[in-house]
Amino acid sequence: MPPLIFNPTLFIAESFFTLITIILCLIIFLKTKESYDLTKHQGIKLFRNAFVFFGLSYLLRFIFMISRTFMDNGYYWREIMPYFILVLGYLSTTAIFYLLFSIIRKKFNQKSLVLIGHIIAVLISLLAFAMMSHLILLYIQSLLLILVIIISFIIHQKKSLIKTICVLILIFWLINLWVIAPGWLLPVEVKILFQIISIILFVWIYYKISKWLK
Amino acid sequence: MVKMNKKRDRLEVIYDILKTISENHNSIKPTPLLRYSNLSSNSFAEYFRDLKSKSLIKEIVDQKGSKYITLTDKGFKYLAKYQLIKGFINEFEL
Repeated sequence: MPPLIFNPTLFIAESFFTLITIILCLIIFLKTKESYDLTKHQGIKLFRNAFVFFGLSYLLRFIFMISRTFMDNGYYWREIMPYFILVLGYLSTTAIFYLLFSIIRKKFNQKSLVLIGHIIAVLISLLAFAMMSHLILLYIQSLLLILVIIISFIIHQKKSLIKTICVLILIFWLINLWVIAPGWLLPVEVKILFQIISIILFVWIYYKISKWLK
Repeated sequence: MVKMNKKRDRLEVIYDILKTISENHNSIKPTPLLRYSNLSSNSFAEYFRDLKSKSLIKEIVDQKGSKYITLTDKGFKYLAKYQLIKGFINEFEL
């Protein structure tokens, strides 16, 4: 199978989007470093870890897209893609768990939860790897998203910033993952629109943080 | 002197202890600090160990062998940044 048709507009947009998202995740991580160093507050730790894992997930997703564009499709799906799924599955599922733990931290013993989260993330990524399908990953993470939404609404019944952030980040992560799924042929304009909205979301989170942590 | 309320979270307790030290010209003996902190001896000892391990305070011994507690640079930074960090934690409900 030949490589996918190269679309320079989409490639530039993807590169720009990924770079901005990774930089914002990194800035959020660094902005909260001093606060964590001073207080060792577990909520801050979980929050900033979520952004590290999301930053890495977006980076890997970008490499995933580039390699898919430039490599022979048959070889790519057979030899390369399963390993991408393995690592991407672990990183992104762990990021989702860190966001979830930020919400439920005050209600549950956080130390054992983090360990359980890592174990579940490894199991999910191994399952997706064994089945050589990143659709499995998408389905499981979609279920996790629903779970996060339900839990966050049970725990934070009132309007809550962390709840809003978690739900929006997860929704846009899944949209971005769906966009690169095979057979998911959206117009370039729609793909770029999703990416712009994603960037706006991260800029908004950064703005909220920078108000406090100058 | 810092007014100590009964229901304080961990960050507030630390802030109150550090502020007490700062308001005593950055030098206070452990016994009056315990009294001002409004904590039980056990809780105070736990906080004291924690603050030392986080390098927010340090113990110094004078020529007469008396122990004093002082803030480190990190301790002063905690005091300066406390309101902002607290605002961040509260807004994000972390």
